[in-house]
Amino acid sequence: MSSILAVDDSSSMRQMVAFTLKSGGHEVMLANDGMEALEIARTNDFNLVITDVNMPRMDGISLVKELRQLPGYKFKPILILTTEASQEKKMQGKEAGATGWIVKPFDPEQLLATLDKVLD
Amino acid sequence: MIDLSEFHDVFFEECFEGLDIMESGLLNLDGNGADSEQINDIFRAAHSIKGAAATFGFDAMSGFSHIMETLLDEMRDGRRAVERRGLDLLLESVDCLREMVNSTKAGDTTPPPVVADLTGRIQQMLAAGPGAVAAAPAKSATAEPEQDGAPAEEVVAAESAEKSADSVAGSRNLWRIMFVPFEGLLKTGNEPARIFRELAQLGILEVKADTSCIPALDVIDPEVCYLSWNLTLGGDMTRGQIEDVFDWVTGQCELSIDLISGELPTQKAAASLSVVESVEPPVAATDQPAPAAAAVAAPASVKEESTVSEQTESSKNQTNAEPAAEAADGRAAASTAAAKDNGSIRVGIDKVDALINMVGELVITQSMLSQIGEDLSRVDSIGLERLRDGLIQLERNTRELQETVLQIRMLPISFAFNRFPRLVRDLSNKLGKRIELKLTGEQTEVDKTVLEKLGDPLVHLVRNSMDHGLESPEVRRASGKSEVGVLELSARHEGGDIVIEVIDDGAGLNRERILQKAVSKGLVSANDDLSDERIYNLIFQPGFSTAEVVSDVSGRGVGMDVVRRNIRDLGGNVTITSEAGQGSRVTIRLPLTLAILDGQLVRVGEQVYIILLVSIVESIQITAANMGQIAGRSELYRLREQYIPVVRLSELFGVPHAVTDLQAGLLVVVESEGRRVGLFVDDLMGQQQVVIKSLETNFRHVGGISGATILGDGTVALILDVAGILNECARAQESKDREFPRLAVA
Amino acid sequence: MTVNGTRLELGVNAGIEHCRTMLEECRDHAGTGADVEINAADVARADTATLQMLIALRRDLRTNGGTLKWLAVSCEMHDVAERMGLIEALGMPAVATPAVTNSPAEN
Repeated sequence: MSSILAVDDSSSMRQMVAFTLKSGGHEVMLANDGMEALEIARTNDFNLVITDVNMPRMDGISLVKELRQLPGYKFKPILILTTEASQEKKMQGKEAGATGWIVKPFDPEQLLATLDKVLD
Repeated sequence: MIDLSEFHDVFFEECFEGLDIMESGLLNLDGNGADSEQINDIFRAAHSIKGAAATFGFDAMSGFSHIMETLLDEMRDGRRAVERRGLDLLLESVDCLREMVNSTKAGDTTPPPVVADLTGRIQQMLAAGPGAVAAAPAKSATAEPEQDGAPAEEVVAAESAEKSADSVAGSRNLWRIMFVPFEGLLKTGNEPARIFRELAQLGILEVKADTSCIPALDVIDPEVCYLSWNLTLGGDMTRGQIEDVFDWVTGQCELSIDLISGELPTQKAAASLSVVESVEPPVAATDQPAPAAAAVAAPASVKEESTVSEQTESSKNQTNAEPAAEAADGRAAASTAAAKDNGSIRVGIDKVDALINMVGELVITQSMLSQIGEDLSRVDSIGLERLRDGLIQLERNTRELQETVLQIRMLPISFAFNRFPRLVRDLSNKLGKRIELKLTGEQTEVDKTVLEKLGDPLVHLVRNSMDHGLESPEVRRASGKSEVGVLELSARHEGGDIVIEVIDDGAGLNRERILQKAVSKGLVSANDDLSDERIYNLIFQPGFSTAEVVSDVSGRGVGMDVVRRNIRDLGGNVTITSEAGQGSRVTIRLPLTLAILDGQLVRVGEQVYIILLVSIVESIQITAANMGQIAGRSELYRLREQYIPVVRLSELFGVPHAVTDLQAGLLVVVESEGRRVGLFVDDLMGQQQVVIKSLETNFRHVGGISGATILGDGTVALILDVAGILNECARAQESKDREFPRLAVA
Repeated sequence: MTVNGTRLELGVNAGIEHCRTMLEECRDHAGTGADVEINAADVARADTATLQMLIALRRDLRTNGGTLKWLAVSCEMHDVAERMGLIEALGMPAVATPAVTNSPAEN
């Protein structure tokens, strides 16, 4: 049972991710964009962060960079949500410090399996 | 199994959007040659649908889109020419996929029979043709076993003496993996221990670590990885599966994956018990024999030395996620990314309707308050002044709110026009005619419901033009026209209306034939003096069709009368003009909004009726000199050059105590579908916004009345159906019916 | 406790998040050539960062005439070390010894 922060500015995406994660027995907190996520991350200790890339105010790549500066999140698994063809985004994410990515549209079972691998 | 059914609706919508993108993209490619960005968009649309369908477990859909995607992939890579046959096949597949989405939406996930046929044809195309490669296997999924083409190689045994080489005996493949993490790998939260755990799930893993780079304690930076590894993995996994495990770290390490051995003979395995360093690299065969791939960019750190038997296709496809140019990410068809980039959101139409209803109520309330304000104006007071100002403000706010809210339901008419490039293309092929479609004013915005109901009538009008109006190339040539006929669909705003036209430069209407037919059907008499305009518009009468053969193109039963009825239902009208030999123009005129319109209040006796402003030409006082009368009861009024019939509303609706003296009342001249009539009323009252509440839902259909509304003082006023009244009169007149129509009002 | 010995206790979380702290402790022994005992019975989480550091420690100790003895090593930590092919380099026992034992592990 882990506690996960999921960040996405699309309401339907947030709902789907939350739904899936909860079905997997995880605790979920949601944020609309990078800035909100950063605030929440500062005051909560999550086991993992999943974030979309294209968001207003602070995008996912910037969020990853900022999170890596926070003492509690230096080595935590941080995943970005990206479309299959987005090689560029995947690389940018990695450069910013992301652990890896989840491709969307995602297969719920696969998402949970991936998370299980990454959450010890 | 996780239940995502609440997200189905959005998924279906996105599928339709994606399919539209594919279709218009494919049509664009046709004749315009290969446009890599366009092909990429089409590919991504198919890809998104595939992925999303898989997410929701719609496997037939996912599988079918996958094979379409495969064909598209070859095209966008340049491995396959973009030519008509392929495009046609893809267009057919788009239709098929659309059908699948529709039936899945209706609850039936069985693939239609055409799926098997199209799948077969695509596979054939993939297998044949230049630069084609064998159909690439689906990503991840099935492990295609390596074929053993190379002679058995030296075996690299694993780590320490503790491990028995028996552990790899019997496995089908043996892979050697060299893994050298770069400095930053640990800092991204990746961990070799986890990676190896995953690898171990694929098969039998032997691990040999190289610790030689670990520095002394006083200088070591624990966050940097100083270890590297040589691993062997035995089993029937594919290279792709191994690469997948390292997917997230490909840029942060040196990685090489080599197939050491295919089929591993057991005696060899048993023999190698000692720790052996050297490895005989396998015979490095050239990559696949097919001329196919141009420099296919693999991730920098993956070195591929493989035997011929290996399926490099699958791995190349997997590691090759992007072609050279990457089109804007936000144009993903079937994903909400598109919506996000436009700053748009999805709102259920029921919410919008609820909002519109609320605004409607607000309009009524505001109107009531204004009335009160009027009544109170006689009393002089500063407070009242402020009240009046407040009410004026309220009216302004309400109007703005109303306009904004109605805008929500507005969509560009391109949504209705979009099906036509395909339709025109297919139909012109079928008819053997050359027809060019022009679309203008596609951005003109129309209410969503209007848009939906406009589709069928437009289709019929277009088919009609193509079938009966536009001539074959030979005939056109003979008449000195260009062989290619032009069909134009246009839309624009005009006053309070939206005007949509279907214009062709074909043969035009045959006046004589229409007249003959109308006479033979008893619609008009041979003696009637009818203008050309009247004659052309006869084709909208029920049962009217002058085509010798009712071709299956225009179909039977969907006549022009149905078109007219559909347009009328939307509160609009449709007319046609024509020029023999030059072409025809069908004009559809629709009110801009359905729900809230401007109306003129008129009094008849003690009743108040409302005539929509859009119908009113003018209101005049009757001069006796201009009144005339035809034998019988029809009264006519001479308005400038025209004689227009006069309809006494008091008689039409049986209203008592109304003004009967023509000179004491007023004549409101109204117009519909090119015809005019004068409605005789007692008096004009104010004008106000009318919120139309359908009579039918509350009561029943009443002739001559198109709806009702609530006035500021709370009473109900009926809204006149001008077109309906005009029809009644016209019919009464043309059939020389002595009995003036009466329309009962309960 | 052996003469000349010191004990290194590893906590439940011996992962990269705590490696800096662990490094400090390890450095305390640097250059001493002491016989250090390490108790990893409680470790639930261990990773590359930790293990490579312990390898560095062992090397340092041995270079200076000392030893690194595994009093106990949890199953989890042993698994990780085995998976990464580091049992030998760490001088860990062939199997996990979750209970603290006085018999010195293989050196």
